[in-house]
Amino acid sequence: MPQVKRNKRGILHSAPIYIFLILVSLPIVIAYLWLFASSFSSKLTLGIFPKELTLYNWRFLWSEIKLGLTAFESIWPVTLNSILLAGSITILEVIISLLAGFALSRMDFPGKDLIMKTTIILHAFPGVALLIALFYVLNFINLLDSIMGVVLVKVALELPMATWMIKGFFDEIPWELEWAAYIDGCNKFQLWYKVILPQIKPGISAVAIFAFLAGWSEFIYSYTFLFSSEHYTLAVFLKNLIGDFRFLDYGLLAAAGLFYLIPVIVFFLISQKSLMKINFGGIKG
Amino acid sequence: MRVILRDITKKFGTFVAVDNLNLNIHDGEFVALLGPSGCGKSTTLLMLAGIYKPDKGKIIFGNKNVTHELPKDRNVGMCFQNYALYPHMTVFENIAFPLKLRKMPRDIIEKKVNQIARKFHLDSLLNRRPSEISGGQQQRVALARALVKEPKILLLDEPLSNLDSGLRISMRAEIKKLQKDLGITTVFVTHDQTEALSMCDKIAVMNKGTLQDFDTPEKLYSQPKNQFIAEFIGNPPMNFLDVVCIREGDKVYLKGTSFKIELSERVKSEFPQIQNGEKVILGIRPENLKLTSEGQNTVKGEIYVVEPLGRDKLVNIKIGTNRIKVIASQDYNGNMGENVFVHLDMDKIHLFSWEDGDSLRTTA
Repeated sequence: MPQVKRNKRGILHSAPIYIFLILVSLPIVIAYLWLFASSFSSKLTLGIFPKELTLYNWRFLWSEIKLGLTAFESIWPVTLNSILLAGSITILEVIISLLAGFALSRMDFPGKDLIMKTTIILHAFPGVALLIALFYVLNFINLLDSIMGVVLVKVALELPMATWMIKGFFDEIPWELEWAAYIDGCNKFQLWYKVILPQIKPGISAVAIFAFLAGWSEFIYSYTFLFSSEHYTLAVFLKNLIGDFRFLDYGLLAAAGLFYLIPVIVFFLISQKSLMKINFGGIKG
Repeated sequence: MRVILRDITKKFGTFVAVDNLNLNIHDGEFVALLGPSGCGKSTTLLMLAGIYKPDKGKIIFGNKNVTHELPKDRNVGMCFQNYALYPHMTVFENIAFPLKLRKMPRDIIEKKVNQIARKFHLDSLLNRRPSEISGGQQQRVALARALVKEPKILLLDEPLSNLDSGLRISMRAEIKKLQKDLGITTVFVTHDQTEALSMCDKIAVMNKGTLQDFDTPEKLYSQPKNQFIAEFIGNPPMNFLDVVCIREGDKVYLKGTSFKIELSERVKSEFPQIQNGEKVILGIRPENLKLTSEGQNTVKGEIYVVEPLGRDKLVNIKIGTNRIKVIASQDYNGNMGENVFVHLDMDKIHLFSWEDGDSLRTTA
């Protein structure tokens, strides 16, 4: 039967590819397995197989924890801080990039080219190199040790990318669509709200997702610019759990890491569809 | 509604897209704006729609100056080349959109949309999205959307260009019939002279932003005002030969590199001004040429190439430095390189100025 033959050959052909892909992704898979298994057990055999199941590692959810001499505050206010940080970054970034993207795509003004080029350079600039300068600036405007300060820094650094992304979505809307809307009787606001906005919805969600994820995983600026423990975010909390490696509780660290991961996974599952559309652009048909 | 364009000029930066355009379109007329790409025809249409504002001049609908009115206040319907349907709306919502913006009651909107959908055979597609229907169907949706608000003027921007050739020919007739049934003043932009000739009452030929002529298709075809119109209208295009005019007593001859032909009495009276020794361009359409043997009013040439077109053959002939096209019957069997004689129908010739390409005909 030729059908079977072809299938067999197909498998033979793709086998090396599969083996290669499995080998490449194995370290990541094992890392996550370790994280998951060790958070629910007191001991592991062969690296990833749990021996004794326990919820003791998750005790940070309901009680204070002590490692060595350090006592850690409850994780809930810290989580709230992370949500506040990521949420603020998302909202600000979406609003600003929408306006900037529209202007860069649809309007003609002197210096437009220069702005587009400099935004790209800004994006290429390594943020860590700015740490000290930013410290001075934040100190000057009294936003040191404040979540809003970190939000502003992060938004500023992420904006070029977001603006370019949104601009791409605006670029794909044909002028004729706007003209048709005007002729059908739209005023400027109706055009924006009823015709343009629905076309760039995938762009907005894409920017929102990237902004949220970037905000959620933000570490270096939070760690540098936030000193008081009531302003700590989850990333800083995790770092402090590791401490100086003397009293490190791996089970606890794994559980906290998993906890840190949950919102990202949930968010990804919800927004997966919009995320996938980025490649395909805004408009079909 | 009648439409008047008076001294319309539109510039983009330093580029003059439309230069001092004057058009007078009567109520119910079907007018084509015809010209090569970049001639300003689409710009003119967008000025009629109110998308672009002219830098100079007036646009008048009926008795009202609408030059500074917004598109939504002009009551025009427009259909674009790429249809410009709203991708996020269903066919029904697309057609209903102009009515919704006018805050019409729901039941009336529904009635009107269903009515026009039936007319355009879209009844079964009302719940689909534009991406889920064919190009021809999308175009009918675009037309329905343009017409549902019962506009006074219909603007069509190359509506047939994106259709395949069979559908294009049938839509040509459909649109013409529709326009006549509705009696709506229609302006139609196209670069395809066949479309313009076959559909429209009058054609405005444009080139490089200026109006070349505005007349009926017959007039443009039989008495082109300049060489551009002569070449642009008609398929295959008109042939041109460089000749010198020679007056000998009462007779007028046209002399080329290898021929000398006499003007007929009728043509002579049409072109009384040509001078002895004046360089002119002789224009003649392929259908007014015949392949014959040597005789009166014939020109000798060499076959360059023969293109069979199915119904007949198009023979390219080299005469001196010029090349002309002649329509021959299907059974013609001349070969490349052979010498032939071409007979000119001397009553059907056109003469154009060598300097500016204007017709030398003195129109009565």
